[in-house]
Amino acid sequence: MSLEYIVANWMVFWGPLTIVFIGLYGILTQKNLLKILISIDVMDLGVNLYIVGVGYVKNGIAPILTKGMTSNNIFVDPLPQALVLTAIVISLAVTAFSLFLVIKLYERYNSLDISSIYDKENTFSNNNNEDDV
Amino acid sequence: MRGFLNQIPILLVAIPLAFAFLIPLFKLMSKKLPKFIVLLIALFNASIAIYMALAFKNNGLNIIKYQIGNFIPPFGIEFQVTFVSSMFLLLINSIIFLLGFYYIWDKNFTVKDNYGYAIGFLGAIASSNALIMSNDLFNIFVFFEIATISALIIATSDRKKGYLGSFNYLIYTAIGSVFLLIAILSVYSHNGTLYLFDSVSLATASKNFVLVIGLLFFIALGVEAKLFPFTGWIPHVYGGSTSVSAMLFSVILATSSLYVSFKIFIAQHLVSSQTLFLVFALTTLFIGEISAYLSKDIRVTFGFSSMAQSGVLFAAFILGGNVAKYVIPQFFIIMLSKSIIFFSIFNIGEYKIDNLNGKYKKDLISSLTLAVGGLSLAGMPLLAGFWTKIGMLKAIFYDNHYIVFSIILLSSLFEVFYIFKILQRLYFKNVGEEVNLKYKFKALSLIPLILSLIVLALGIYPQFINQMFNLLLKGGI
Repeated sequence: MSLEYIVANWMVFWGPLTIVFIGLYGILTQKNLLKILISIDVMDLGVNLYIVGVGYVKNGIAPILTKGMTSNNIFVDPLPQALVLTAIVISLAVTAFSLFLVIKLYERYNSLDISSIYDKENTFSNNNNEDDV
Repeated sequence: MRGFLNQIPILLVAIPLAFAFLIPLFKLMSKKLPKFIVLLIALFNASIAIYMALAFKNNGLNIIKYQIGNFIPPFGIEFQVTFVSSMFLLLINSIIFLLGFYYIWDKNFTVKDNYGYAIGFLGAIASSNALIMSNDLFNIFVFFEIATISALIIATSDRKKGYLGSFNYLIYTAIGSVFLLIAILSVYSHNGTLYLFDSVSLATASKNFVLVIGLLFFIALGVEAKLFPFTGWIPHVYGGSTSVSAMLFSVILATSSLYVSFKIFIAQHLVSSQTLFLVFALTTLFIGEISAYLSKDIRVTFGFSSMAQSGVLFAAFILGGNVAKYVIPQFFIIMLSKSIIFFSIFNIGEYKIDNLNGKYKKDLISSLTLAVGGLSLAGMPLLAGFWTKIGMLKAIFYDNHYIVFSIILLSSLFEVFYIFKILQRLYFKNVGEEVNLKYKFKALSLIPLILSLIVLALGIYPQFINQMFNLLLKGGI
């Protein structure tokens, strides 16, 4: 197993997956709403890298038709690159919506700490359980 | 005729989605207009679904395929409708149409942001239809995300209480969507195509690889299909939900997610470890029924009950063989029974089980239909739920899956307990405050009444279920 193979394998597979799991660790351990959102974004970043990595071809060049190209040229797979754009746009929309939710949660509970928000919600539910539209 | 039929599946998705984007314009014309637009779109979708279902029945069609931009797969996206999926589309769109009446005329239905809610509603209609029809893995991901965002808008527009539920749901779905993308791209890296029914599938891949991909899909689709352990959001979202939202979550989005997971698991041969998935499915069932039994809010009870039903269906699907034949009929009956239950609950207008005390006098018809829906879900004789449940249990027993049989039977006991607990509170608990409980006829109570009559008719004449069962066996998923 050559060093080049190990590096390539790390870059396209294990590296992105490590980033995904760092994000997952953040979601599971953080109590601050903004830190949870950042962790979700870290996960998204990892998966986007993974998508690009899937299209990796050894010694491949960008799949753009330029002067002097021959049929012997090897290209990287362009499909995952197209897919990653959609994934980025979707994660942007979800992040924007999440930030809106965080602002609304802060306005209602005056806190960004998820445990304290749950405590306050339980107090609200016990005092006045329904229909605060 | 055939050419026209091939063109219409896309309308079920494109029209609701286009109007979702136009809602801000309609709002400028009139504040009440977005609600009526939703009902109109629901009517349009229901008509198309009925037309397609009739075409399958009368013209002897096997399949309708629509390729976007005439690009054949794997180069383009394909929408496929089989007899089974046409039945799902028919049921889902009909229920959405009936839900439209609640959206406009239910007095208990009050939301903070009516116009945002209309956008979420239309997004949910488009995505649930697309998830059932799409044959492209990345397209499934995109509509899965649209479903998630629509669900978030719906949960957020409900009440101030909905913010916390939405955030909770958001975390689960964010993790789910990341795993879904990893799974889809891993399938692509093996198959070299995103087409779901390509001749190349994971059948030739190593067992461990298939297991990992199966688990990733299970995690990703388990959030909306309500499969354990991705169900922590249920009490928060259902606890603050209104009539329309609870139905959208419980019947529409859960059904399309579960259906698409069946489709992916079949197409890509993902059931590599029957035991592992069975453990997940049966845990979902057991925990769902116990949580439903312990809940004090009827909406949460039936939210957890819906989770348990997903567990039963997934377990039956994983077992395969004779048992799997009962998945689709049971799926239909569960959808019908759950719709009756939710429609009835929201007509009665009382969500705390402890406060139900004798309130059947307030709405006699809805109390009766709640009993019919609940008992059909529990599988009581003379109701449609009995025939599919007994058929499934018999198949499980004869296929020698005795442990699965015992767990389903034990969970059914819990189900019977909590349904009887609710009915006992509703009918037999002494009230003491008779003054406020005068019967007042509600036109909306006719909706669960019609559905209850269907359940009753199917229970008394099970030949219809058998006929449907035979027809369903002919077509693919």
